[in-house]
Amino acid sequence: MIKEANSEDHVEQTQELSTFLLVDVGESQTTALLIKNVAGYCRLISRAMVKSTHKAPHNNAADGVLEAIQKLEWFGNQKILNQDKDLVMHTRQPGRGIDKFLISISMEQVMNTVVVAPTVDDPAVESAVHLLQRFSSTLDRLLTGANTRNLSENIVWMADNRPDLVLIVGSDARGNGMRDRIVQAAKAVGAGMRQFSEPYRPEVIYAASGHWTEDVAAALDIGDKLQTAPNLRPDARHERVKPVRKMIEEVVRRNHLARIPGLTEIMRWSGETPYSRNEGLAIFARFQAALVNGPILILDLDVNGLTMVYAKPKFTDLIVRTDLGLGSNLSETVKSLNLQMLSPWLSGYDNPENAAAALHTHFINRSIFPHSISQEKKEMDLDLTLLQALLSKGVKEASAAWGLDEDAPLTVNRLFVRGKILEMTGEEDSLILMLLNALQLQGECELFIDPHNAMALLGGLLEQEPEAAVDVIEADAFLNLGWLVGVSGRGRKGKDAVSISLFDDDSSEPLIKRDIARGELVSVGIPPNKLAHATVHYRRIGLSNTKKLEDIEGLKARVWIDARGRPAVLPDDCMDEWEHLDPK
Amino acid sequence: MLVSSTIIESNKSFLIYRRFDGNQTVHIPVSNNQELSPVQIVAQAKQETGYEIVPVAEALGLNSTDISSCLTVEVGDSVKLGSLLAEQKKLFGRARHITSTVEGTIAEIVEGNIFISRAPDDVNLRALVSGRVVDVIPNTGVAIEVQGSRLQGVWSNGLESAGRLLIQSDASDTKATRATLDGDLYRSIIVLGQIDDPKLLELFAEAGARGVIAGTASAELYHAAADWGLPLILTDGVGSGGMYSAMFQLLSENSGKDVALFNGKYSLTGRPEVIINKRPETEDGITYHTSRLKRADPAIGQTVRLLTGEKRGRNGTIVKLHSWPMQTPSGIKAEGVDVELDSGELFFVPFANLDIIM
Repeated sequence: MIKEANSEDHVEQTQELSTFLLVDVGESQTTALLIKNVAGYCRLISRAMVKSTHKAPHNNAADGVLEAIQKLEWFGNQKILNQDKDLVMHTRQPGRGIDKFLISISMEQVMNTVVVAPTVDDPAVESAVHLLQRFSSTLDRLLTGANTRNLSENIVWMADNRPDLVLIVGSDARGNGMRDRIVQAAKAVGAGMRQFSEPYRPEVIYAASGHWTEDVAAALDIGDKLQTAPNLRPDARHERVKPVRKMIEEVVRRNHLARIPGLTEIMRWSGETPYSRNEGLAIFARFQAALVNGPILILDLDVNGLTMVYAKPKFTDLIVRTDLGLGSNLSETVKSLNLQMLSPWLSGYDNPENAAAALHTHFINRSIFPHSISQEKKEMDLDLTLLQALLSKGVKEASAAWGLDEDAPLTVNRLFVRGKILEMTGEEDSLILMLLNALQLQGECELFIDPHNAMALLGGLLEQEPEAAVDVIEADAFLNLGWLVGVSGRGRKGKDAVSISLFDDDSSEPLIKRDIARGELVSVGIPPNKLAHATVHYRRIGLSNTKKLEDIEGLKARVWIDARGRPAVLPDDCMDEWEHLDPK
Repeated sequence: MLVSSTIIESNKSFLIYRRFDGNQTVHIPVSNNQELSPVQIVAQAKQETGYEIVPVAEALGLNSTDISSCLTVEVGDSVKLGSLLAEQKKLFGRARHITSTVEGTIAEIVEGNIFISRAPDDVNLRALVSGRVVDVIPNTGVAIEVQGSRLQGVWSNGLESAGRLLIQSDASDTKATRATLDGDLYRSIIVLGQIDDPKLLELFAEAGARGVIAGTASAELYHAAADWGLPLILTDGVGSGGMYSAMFQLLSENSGKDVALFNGKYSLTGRPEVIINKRPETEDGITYHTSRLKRADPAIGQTVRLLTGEKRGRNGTIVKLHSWPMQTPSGIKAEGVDVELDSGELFFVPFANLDIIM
């Protein structure tokens, strides 16, 4: 590890760490954050974002990391690199050096995976598919021994398609025949794998019943390529995800991250092993769910995929949909969307066919130019419809894994958004309406945006320096856009739906009081530099129909009330104008 | 600041890589400093062609566990067309024979089936351009120094070819129809301003064309091109704007010359490229300067084109660099520059929508 440390100023690591450099290398952007202890609290001092450089013409992720750090030095007035461009560590000189360096990586390379199970309907298959979604992995084939006539075909498929990972799962709780079936499937895997030369053989993780281990190993006949984990799904009611997840993480680290040009150089240069951005996001989500003691949702859209993290206390689930990103896959995804159904959300077109054609063209151009920004209102409308389609599809299809009804409106206490969702939406009005349309949010939800790409980095810091991370999360990292209130059910347009009263905390007299009718979109501002609270009184909902929204503060925070009802019905509900109310 | 840039250059010398991905055994039949013609093979690899499954147990009417005594081959044996795989001896010296229907290697014998890995095919990689070998990359391919002109597209369907450059548009935004096509399309790389009708692709293939360069295409044509058997490069994207004027001009000036289409998989920028090639025997008196491959940072006076929006494909010049994010009419704040279009119109363009012309 090459790190400059002035011997006179060198401070042992046991002393309090006060300056942190966090870097995230993403598919499209590399972000660097500088966090410093100021008067006893850690603060986000500066941020730098540059384009990632792991692809042509640079082909070296380290270039982007250095550029981001150099920018950060300038913005943060902190000397981080020495003349040889090595990190300056552990000095106590003001404006010089850092104490801790963390790096996260998110360049979703799709991992092609085969799941092997005794039968298609084994509950372990569901667990395996779900687990693999955390790793931007697609299930290419499910091999089962249930139908032996497929053995030949399966062997040929294995040999021709060369998957990256084979995951063997299954439970013996379903009867005696299961052993023979999984052995049969394992034979196909082993025979297929032997067609690959040694370096190209996939990794094989065995996470099925412990009673079959020897038989399956014999059928596979692949020597030390087989790794064994505890049974992923011993029976229908229990899952043991963690050990298998760790093994897959290791496979990803060994086989995928190592292939990213420049990553080895970064590791050698910094002495740090990067962690996956998804790991950081999951930690951050768990922390937030525990904090609000309820469900939270993180949405992160990038070129290579849509990442969704849904967490409740004692439950965290992360899904990466590589098919719902803004990159080249989008031209394929567009084929699976009903563009005519989306067209009512667009205004300014003569007929639905023209709107659908414009959407089609826009979706493909987005796949060619995923980083471009909509400059005109017409383009922005197309982008908003595109985002709405992708987020709606992603969340609906993830609902079952989260134990939710995909047709029911979504209820979460907090929503965090980042990435292209923010870059493509601009004003808060557009962003919030798009989110309400896409997610059909119901009830009260606090909305935070992550303009600094800090969530995953702070997730990593939460594990290592929790106090520093909590300081930054509470103070600087996110922009609070206030509360979204989604009125449930349908009602006649114009009838009273909800009333809101807004108070500042110093007074019992409402600053604003307003009845809101069915079909309206109203946002209520708070007094600048004051802590406010609001009561929302839902009409005809039942006995407990008043909700208090506490501690509303922040430059951009408002209460956003969507009284269109759930589910939104087209074309009545495709309005795009908010009525803004502000205290005098 | 890293901003998208596009190379449009004439009379330059540059490197073209013709190579495999390193996962095959590659034979390179050319050597350093060798002059190449477009049709010359520069690298050869063996491509696996899949498996033949012979259901021996089923054919002999035996259980899969009972065929071992009948087998005349084992895993790893090479077989030719007609080679004996299994023999079932019957009474009075009669026998039933199972023979191979392909040439290859016995890969597996599982559950009464013999898997024969078919003998690999030779895949030949041709130069597609005239030039000189400057680097032989062992087991991979070659780098070829080429003289001529080059431009980069924004999308290709992944295929490569070479032919004669044939302009089939009278202007950079002319939409191709059957009526606008003129002349012999055989062996040609057809240049079109815009193309919407997927049926034209069938017509081009039937006429023996070698590929298409178009400015813009319809969404339907884009999907059709992805499955087309010939290469197609778009210079500007999907929609109706046509081709960037400087590219159309360069292509028009070189009508009739040899041209190659590369998918960009192994180019230094990862972008699809059109190479208009100078033949080595041509004494044209032109000086070929070395290409600048470095990306350019935005600077005042630089020529740019716009990548998106209603003014997509328009040409302009950077007149001001903004230090702080500016707001676009859509409400998005972004870092960028002021651009003066050729028409005199002046407005702000985010870096993300800017393409520096090099």
